[in-house]
Amino acid sequence: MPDDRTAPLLQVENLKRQFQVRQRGSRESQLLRAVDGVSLHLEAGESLGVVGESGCGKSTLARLIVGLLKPTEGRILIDGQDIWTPGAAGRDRRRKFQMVFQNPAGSMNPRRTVGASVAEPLTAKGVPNASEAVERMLELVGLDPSMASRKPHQLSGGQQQRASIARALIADPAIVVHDESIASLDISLQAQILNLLLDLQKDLGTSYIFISHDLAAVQAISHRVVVMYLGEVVEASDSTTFAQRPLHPYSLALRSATLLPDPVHERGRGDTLLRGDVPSPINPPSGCRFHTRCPLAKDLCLQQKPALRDAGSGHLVACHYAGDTTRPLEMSEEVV
Amino acid sequence: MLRMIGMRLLGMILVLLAVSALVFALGALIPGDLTSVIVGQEGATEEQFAEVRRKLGLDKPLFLQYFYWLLNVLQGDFGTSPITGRTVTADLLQQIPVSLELALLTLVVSTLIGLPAGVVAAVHANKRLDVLIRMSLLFTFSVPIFVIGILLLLVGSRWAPDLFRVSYTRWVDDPVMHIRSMAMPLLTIAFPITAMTMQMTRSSVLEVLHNPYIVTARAVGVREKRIQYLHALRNALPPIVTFIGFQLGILLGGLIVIEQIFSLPGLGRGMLEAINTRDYPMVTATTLVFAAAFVFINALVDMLYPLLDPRQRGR
Amino acid sequence: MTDRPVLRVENLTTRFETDHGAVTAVDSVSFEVAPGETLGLVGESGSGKSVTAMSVLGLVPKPGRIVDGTIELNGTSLLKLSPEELRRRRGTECGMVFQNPMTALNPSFSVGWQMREAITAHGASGDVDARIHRALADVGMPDPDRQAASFPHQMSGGMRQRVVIAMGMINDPQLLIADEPTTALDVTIQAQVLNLMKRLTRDHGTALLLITHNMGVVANMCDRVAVMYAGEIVEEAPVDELFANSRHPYTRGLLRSIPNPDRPREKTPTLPGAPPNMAQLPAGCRFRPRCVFADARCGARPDLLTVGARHKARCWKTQAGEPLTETDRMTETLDAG
Repeated sequence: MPDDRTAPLLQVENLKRQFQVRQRGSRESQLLRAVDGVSLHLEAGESLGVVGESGCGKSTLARLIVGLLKPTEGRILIDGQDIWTPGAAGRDRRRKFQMVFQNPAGSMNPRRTVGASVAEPLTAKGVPNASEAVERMLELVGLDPSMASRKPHQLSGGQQQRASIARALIADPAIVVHDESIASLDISLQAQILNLLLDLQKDLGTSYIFISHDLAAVQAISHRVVVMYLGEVVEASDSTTFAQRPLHPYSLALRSATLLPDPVHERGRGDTLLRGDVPSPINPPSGCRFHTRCPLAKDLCLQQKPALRDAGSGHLVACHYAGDTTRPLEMSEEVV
Repeated sequence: MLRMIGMRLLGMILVLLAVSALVFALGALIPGDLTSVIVGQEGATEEQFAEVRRKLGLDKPLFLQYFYWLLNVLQGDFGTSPITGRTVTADLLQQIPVSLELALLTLVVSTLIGLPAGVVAAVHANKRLDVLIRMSLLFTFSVPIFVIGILLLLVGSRWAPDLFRVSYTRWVDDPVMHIRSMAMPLLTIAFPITAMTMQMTRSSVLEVLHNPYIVTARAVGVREKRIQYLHALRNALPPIVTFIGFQLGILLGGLIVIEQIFSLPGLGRGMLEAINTRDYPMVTATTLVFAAAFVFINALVDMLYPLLDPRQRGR
Repeated sequence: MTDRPVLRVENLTTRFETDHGAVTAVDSVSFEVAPGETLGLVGESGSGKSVTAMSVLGLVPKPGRIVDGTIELNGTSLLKLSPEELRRRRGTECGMVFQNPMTALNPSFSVGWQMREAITAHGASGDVDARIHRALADVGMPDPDRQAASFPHQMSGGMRQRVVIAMGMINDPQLLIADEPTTALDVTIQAQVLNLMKRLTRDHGTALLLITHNMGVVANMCDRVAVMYAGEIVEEAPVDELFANSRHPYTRGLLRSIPNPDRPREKTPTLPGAPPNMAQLPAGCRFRPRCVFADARCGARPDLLTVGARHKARCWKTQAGEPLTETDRMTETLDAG
């Protein structure tokens, strides 16, 4: 029996997932390393934010963690126990995860009532009468319990997303993984959902993994932030430190690319941009995978892959030069 | 691309081999064989039977018979018909052009009418014109080919007897008479095929017209007609082409009926006659030709796909 | 000449006749875009901002119909034009950039072919290939000739959006309408595309009507802003004025509800409720059910009136000169369903 006391709630060890992909019109398949050696951990009652551009592997990571995909390599441990242990033990552990998707309408059966959809995780467990729990849950996420008898299309986008949050929480999961769960909502509703998630966490003690391309939204909810690039973690830090002092050039670029609702600030914005697109994860660049877009890249970065190292008090960064005080990591005009 | 065509060809050959084996086996399994046809049903002695069988090679094991048959077929020799006494190949060479002409004409006519009509119906979706077109469609759908054929024959021979009282004439013999002899069969079979092409075009174009890139084309000022017949139709083509290929299969079956009604000396009629007279070499030969046509059409459609959709061509 | 706006929209009303009754998606909307100016049209989904844009180009999707109003492009009233006359102005006087670059280009034709269509639709003149080359180079495409020969699916989203922008600008229109041009793109690509649009419109003196829901994009791009809510413009002001001194409770709530990236795990103040169902609009002020300042006056529908220098708002309270002072009730998080 592993020692529960020292093990974090969730421990992900060197997780890898590869896909065989075949381009159209071609017979040869290639290896796409969607998630390539990710390790992270999450404590009970906390939130972990995962941020990165499309194609960085964050959605694959979400599916791996909740057990919708099987890893090619690596382990996912909940309370120190592998979720892919064969048989009922593994299955029970995987049930401790729930997921909230980007498109709430698409994740609910349009022919069933909202109540039936919300009750799903309970009925799957064999709980016979879930209607009371459904009502309680709907109220908790700020919906009128009468909504249970409606069909998903009779709800607005924000209400649908509240209902899918209710569904995720109803069976008392240890961890809820949010994959871009607020991305398709209007701004005023995004803030409502973020606040709701904060409140629910306080009340229920659920842990979140919050995956998003929106750095501000990730920081708004997370205790700890992980930045991914081409299937790898390039930076991990508690969110306060990260907000004050991101270290990896990619994190800096993401932050500088986030537009602020402040015309004065925006006018003063230099062209601190990242060149080009995310390279294909099929043939990722050699050495540091970010070197093709990095304004600081040197020869070393082309040849040697930087390890994820501790830059002080648990602030992890995978960069040869990050934290080097002789070369301040401010990106200059010449970047573009 | 070349590699893909190669793979396709190999696949075609394998399918045709399988079909030939099946056709041959069916012929062999049907009670009664060529011997009885040649020798006659009654009054022949066992010795006579055995003699004929040996001559025809029917005493050998089935797979050997198949092997020899196949060897001959590959050299273009389908054997000799015991009924007509002519070589099957000679008959086929007479029949194939007739059916092929009818099939190709049907394809051309139905596409030339069906495609634009389908675009018009899609553009006017659910308006009066579209409803009218679709009503007439429904009508042609619900009436079988042979009914249309017989109706045309009955009504037509009354009103325009000149157009109908013609027996099949070859183009080389008299072009005008040839056209007159082909007009009615073509009209009969092109009717439902055109209707189907149009229906398919309508739904495919209708779907494409909802795409954002159509709005983009409008926003840069491309003329509406050009958007409909070029920008939209081009994207609607892949499913339509697949469907037309599929229709050709139905068309092959239709030929048997049409050629019978209008007394055209084509492959379908030849096949039917052969079945009636138990002309086994002819039955197997015509079946094989039909199967080959079907396989060929399917392969052609598959190979057209990358041409029609750049996304299938890879990077 | 200089004081004539490129685009003048007055009392534009666009209605959709649906099975569930008529929905007035755009209700008496008026605004102007000056030459070279960038006007932001801001709102949430369903606010009518996209329908407004489509109305300008005469491309309102069925069953929508412009039922009232005037649209003047370069002084010509568009609603009086024949379809052919309107077509000739699309692309030449007013270009358009769409939200989703993945679907805005025709998958069956090469990029160059589609750009050629945009040119030849208005009568080809001069060397078309050279124009395509220039346009692609202008939007920062490396190796323009090779890119012209490639198909949309061979390009990344950012590259496709550059092509869409190049197509919108290729006939050098006086006005470019961009409908959520960066919403479908990653943030790093968004910054690139916005910078590109800024440079192009500046270099060509093109006015830009930018439709977006993203206040960061507005702050970055716009000279003036019109905020739409439930089919109406509720506030209009120069960009600095709007962000510093918004005079409509909706705008103010919207600005406050953007999470601050520098302050993690802090609750963001929110607008309560959700935008109204356009088929069942509340009587009086349409924002009233969500408004913390609502009082008896709000039972009547307010007009969009001047409340300051170049600043208009559709709110009884600010029109009466009363400040939108935040009460204790407002600083709390309002979080109703």
